[in-house]
Amino acid sequence: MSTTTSEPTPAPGPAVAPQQVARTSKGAITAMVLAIAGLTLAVGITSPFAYVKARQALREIDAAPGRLTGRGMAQAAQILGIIGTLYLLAWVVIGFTAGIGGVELSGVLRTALNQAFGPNAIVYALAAIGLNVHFGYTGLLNFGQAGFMAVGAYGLAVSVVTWDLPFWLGIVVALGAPVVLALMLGIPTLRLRADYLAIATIATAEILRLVFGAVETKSVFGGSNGLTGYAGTFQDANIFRNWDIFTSGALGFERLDLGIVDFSKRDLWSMLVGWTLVAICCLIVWAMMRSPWGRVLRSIREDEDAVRSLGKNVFAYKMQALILGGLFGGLAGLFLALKQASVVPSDYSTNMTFLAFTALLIGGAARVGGPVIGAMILWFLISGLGAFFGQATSGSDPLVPSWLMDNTQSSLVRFIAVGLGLMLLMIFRPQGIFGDRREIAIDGR
Amino acid sequence: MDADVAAPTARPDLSAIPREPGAKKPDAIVVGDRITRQFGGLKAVDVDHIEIQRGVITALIGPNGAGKTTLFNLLTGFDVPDSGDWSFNGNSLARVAPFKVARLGMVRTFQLTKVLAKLTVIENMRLGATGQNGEKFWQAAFPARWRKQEAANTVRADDLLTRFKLDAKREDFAGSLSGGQRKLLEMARALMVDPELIMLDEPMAGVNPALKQSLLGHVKSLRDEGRTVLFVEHDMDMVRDISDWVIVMAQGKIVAEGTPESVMADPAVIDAYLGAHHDTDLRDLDESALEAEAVAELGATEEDA
Repeated sequence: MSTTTSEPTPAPGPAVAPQQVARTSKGAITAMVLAIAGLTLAVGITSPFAYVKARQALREIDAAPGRLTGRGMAQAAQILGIIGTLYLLAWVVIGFTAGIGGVELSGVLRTALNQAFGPNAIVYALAAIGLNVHFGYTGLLNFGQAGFMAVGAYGLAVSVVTWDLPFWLGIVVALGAPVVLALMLGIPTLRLRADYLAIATIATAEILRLVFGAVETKSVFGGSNGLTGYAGTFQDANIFRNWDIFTSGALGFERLDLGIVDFSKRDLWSMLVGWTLVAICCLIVWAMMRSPWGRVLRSIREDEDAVRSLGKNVFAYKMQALILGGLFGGLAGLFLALKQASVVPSDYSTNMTFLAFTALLIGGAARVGGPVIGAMILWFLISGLGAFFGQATSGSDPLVPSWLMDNTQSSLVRFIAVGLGLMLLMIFRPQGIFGDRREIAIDGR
Repeated sequence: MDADVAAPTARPDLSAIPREPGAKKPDAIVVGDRITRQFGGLKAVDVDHIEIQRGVITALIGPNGAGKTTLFNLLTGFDVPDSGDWSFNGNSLARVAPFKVARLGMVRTFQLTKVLAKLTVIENMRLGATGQNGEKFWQAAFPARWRKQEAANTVRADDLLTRFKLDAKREDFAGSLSGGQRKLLEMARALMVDPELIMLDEPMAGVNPALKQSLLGHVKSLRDEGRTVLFVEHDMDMVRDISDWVIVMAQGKIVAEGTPESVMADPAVIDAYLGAHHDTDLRDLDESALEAEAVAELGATEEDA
């Protein structure tokens, strides 16, 4: 490729250097394969990519005349790509109006949007904002965010249910517990290298989950069934149930149904509180990270020793970051406990931490809005794919034949699909959706 | 030392100092005693007495593995010695954390430059300023508390960037700078701390010859504005050119001290760098005597371990 040949020399005989032979453009072949796959196997899903690839290939061929052949193939792929894209659009239109093989795309979209804006996305957004402070800005590899969430949730539940304290005191305990956890975790481990912190945090989170779920501590933490009956004050404060304008009159409704989304009054109340919390947390992160304090954190992420040599107490800054991020994690746990009105130890498994990390990476680390958008996209994909595969494998004549995937497998396939998508994201857009490509291009040191 | 060197500030007279290891200085900014650091069986640093004269450029030289960088790390708190005490401006620094050492006015750079790659050049500079209100947790969220200070720091940073000819790179990521520019940035950033003693670990390593001259000028200008400079260097031209005093280390010990001229003529220094037999033809060496010497040396090392 790097050798420059101005024009193909009509060299006689077999002694032609291989780089002088005009090759068929690889892009054109790829485009053709995508186009044919789109029309035959993949209901047109690959066709838009085929069109884009074919255009790229055409440009490449025109830029290097004589060196690359396959112009005809690229043109054919382009046309097939357009046809396939129309075919895909037709399917989408039919899918939304009539449904295909028992799959109603409008229903799938509705489920996905409900989850993208619903309380679940809020939990992960809050957790991911905390991880963003830890990992995105300070470079602390906290794999135990679920532990911070658990102490937040149990802080409230134990105070109200076991100790019989008032609700508001429970909230204070719930916010104090992650701070205490951060201090206990940070003092021995923050002097260590990053990977040791990761091991210590993941172990701590597991220890907490097992202690909260243990039979021996059932009288305090409620064992594997967890605790309930503490969220009454929160549910009673629901303005959508209490305020007259929402119960009768022009604004009155039983269930908010906007066509593409649909929420119960309980969810609406959770969402109002939750998104307000997310907004406040984002505001705090924004205000802190634009300050010189945030600059010290980002510098610690780059090189601790350099920051030390400039007279900054690195340990204190890392501790402050661990506490702040842990507090956001605790808030996520507290919100989860409030919105589902029960705490169950199995909710706070390592899965939760890793899904929160996924949300952070999708949105883009070290960006204020990254974790929020990431959490919304994550839940859109998980629930949308779940609904799609669920519908596509149910009924007497499912869209996806049962020898390929049955209904019980479909809920797992969505995670496989999300994982695959995350891999592709890391390959093609490692900085996430909001990230700055220039930052990734610098490999540091 | 040389009266004919036109120095803007009166430099201390070093001519009266005896040229011997651990020599007393008229006005020492750093004084260290019996500093040792052992890595397994190797005594990397074993310094009986060291004094660094205030207001001059002192070079710390020695062959690879002589313990120069380790001594740097020990003095600045980045490594903890097995024994010994040392002081800076009369304050004892034993077991003082590196960030506190820096705050006292003793700032170092690193052999492998440590720029903060994903911060811009100007952000790197601003980080260096000390006593920033905006770096305190409870004040950070309120720009009114730090905006004025930040502006003043930025002015100072811009002046330094102009002085080090990095002003064109102000908004670039530090990670995109060349090796020599990184050295300059690290030096400029250290100056943001406004140190009394600046310690440069191999400032010339990996710098192209064209930039070397300007770096030399910058190091000299540090002394001329009243700072004390201590640097580790392999480049003998640089040592001869800019240092007022040279301390030579070999195998963890200080083996010689003196002005550049006297040190470079010192047989102990030549031995340390080139080996004691460097000017003997190999054929003339008595092999059995050498072998006995090697055995004796091995025995000594084993005793140490």
